Amino acid sequence: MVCGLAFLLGACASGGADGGAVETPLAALERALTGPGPFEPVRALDPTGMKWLGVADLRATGPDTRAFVVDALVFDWPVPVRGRLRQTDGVWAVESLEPAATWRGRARLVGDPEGVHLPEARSARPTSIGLTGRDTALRPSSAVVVAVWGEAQPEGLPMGLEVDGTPAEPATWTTALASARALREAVASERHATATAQVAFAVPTTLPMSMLDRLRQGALEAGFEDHFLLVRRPNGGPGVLSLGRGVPALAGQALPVIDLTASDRALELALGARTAQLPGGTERVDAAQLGGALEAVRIDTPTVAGLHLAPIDSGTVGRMVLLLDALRAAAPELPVWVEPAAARNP
Amino acid sequence: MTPRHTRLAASTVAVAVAFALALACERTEEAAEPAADDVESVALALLRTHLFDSIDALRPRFADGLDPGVFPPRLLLDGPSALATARIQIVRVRMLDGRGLVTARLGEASGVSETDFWLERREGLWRVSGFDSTPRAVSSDDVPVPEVLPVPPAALAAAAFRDRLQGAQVPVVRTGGTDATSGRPASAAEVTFRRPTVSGACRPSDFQGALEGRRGPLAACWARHVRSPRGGRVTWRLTRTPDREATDVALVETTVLDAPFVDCTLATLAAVRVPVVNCSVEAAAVFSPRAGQAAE
Repeated sequence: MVCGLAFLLGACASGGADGGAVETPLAALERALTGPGPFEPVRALDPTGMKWLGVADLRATGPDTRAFVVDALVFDWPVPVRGRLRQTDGVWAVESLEPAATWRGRARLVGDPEGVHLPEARSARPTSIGLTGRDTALRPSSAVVVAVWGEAQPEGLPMGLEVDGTPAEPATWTTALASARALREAVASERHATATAQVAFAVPTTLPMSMLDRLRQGALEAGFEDHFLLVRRPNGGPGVLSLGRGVPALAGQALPVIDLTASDRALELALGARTAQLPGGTERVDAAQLGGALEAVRIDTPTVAGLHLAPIDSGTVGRMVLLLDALRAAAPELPVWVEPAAARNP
Repeated sequence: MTPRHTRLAASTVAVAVAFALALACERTEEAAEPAADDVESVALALLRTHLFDSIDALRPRFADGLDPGVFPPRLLLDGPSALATARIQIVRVRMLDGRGLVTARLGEASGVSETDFWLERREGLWRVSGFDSTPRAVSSDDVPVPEVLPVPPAALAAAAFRDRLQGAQVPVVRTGGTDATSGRPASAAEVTFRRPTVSGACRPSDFQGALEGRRGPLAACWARHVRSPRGGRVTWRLTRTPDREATDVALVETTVLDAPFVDCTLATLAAVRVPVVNCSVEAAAVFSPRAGQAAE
């Protein structure tokens, strides 16, 4: 009988042991996300209420260490937060988060209209793509996301350059881009589909156009031909604007295209021999006037294939978005290709 | 109380204690379930404790329609006895589309393998709802887990297709060879006007400003059509006849032998208004490729 009791006690003890009494790294991380500790300031980023989307990655980096990426919904934008876990005396706990400047920079980009933030566009289509390169269900998005949350630098690429939510070095960011593209292609291949290389830029409204062009040139060289711009919609949520794509065509076999040259001083439209000029340039874009100018140049050629916006190598991304917004308002059906200027330092 | 009664009472108490212990033990396990409700705990318990349970006992841990008998970790380890010595660790956990995607590393004396499977919450419990049927051999337990996220199982990565962005496409006729669509840097050139020579009732200064305003569009013509590393010079004649409001533009001379480029410049200069009737002006522009911008 005593033996029977001992057996029962032993069985009970062993059952408890494999029942998961020791907290796993994932459980410790999930507990930390909502409890007191290092995530408190992250949760305070969005006063309107942020939401954790889930653990995008929890990776063993040693017997007692883990690296993690957690996706959060900040101001309705998927944003990543990275950090490390460590096991001490059998207990897992968050050891560190990436520098506060990084996750604050991302939150400012998507949510703070006063700081370094994304441009706003009324005509942007809603999207589920955020800075993570994943949607809200943590699945890879169709487009690779290249984000810049820092100030522009006088020389070189801007601070806070990221590819699919992973910080990238200016010297090797195109390698990260190629790797992100390979991921989409592999997914497509598994589904017996063909991936189209798409890249979406999430850059501050104050970023010089020359800097965006440099990023676009890098993307072109990495094989990305479809370029998009992530922007804030009027409600603050994620939106996307197409920067279009130039498709090679044979002379005489394509419909005519309106040429638009934009500078700080004037907007000039040309279609064949018809031209129109709008004073004020990208500083003052009026959708109604632009619509009138478009009508004027199309008077002999009502059917056009689209509009080609010649490289703008001055001004900021915000100005270009204003122009795109005005174009969309004036002629919603007109496909627009914003040609990237040649990179200054190829 | 007789000794028999004493033994009977003791036996009854023992049974009651044993029952109570068993009940308490069961409650402890029940209580442990919610505490171990994360995907990693469930996956670890499955691998370390229940992997070689009978198929019928395993079935509730798997989604309907999935055969636990072909669960790769069962096939990788050498039977129930191997569980005592096998090194089982979870090296990666990802949440994807509501599923917990687990990468487990199973080590035995014969070698180390890695395998992926994913769990889904059904009827309130995490159950295995799919697995990769081709495990990978790994050289040792300590091989670093790559930082780059691996390709997610196709079944869980629909976003790349469902929410594909739709971009605008604009045809571009390229004859001179400049080609931003192919990713090569477009050629850019500085445009400098020479002083125009006029004939008739007008002065060179009447055109200076208007010509300067066409500098950008002319540079765009060059960027679009020309890929020559050398520069060029083009001269046009602009006239306005009494019977026409528009400006006639004719080519006088060009060193750039590219018809679409020349046509582009003619269309561009047609926007220059000649202010006086019976006035003609000859304008020449020099196109100088910017340093570092000459195409290959």
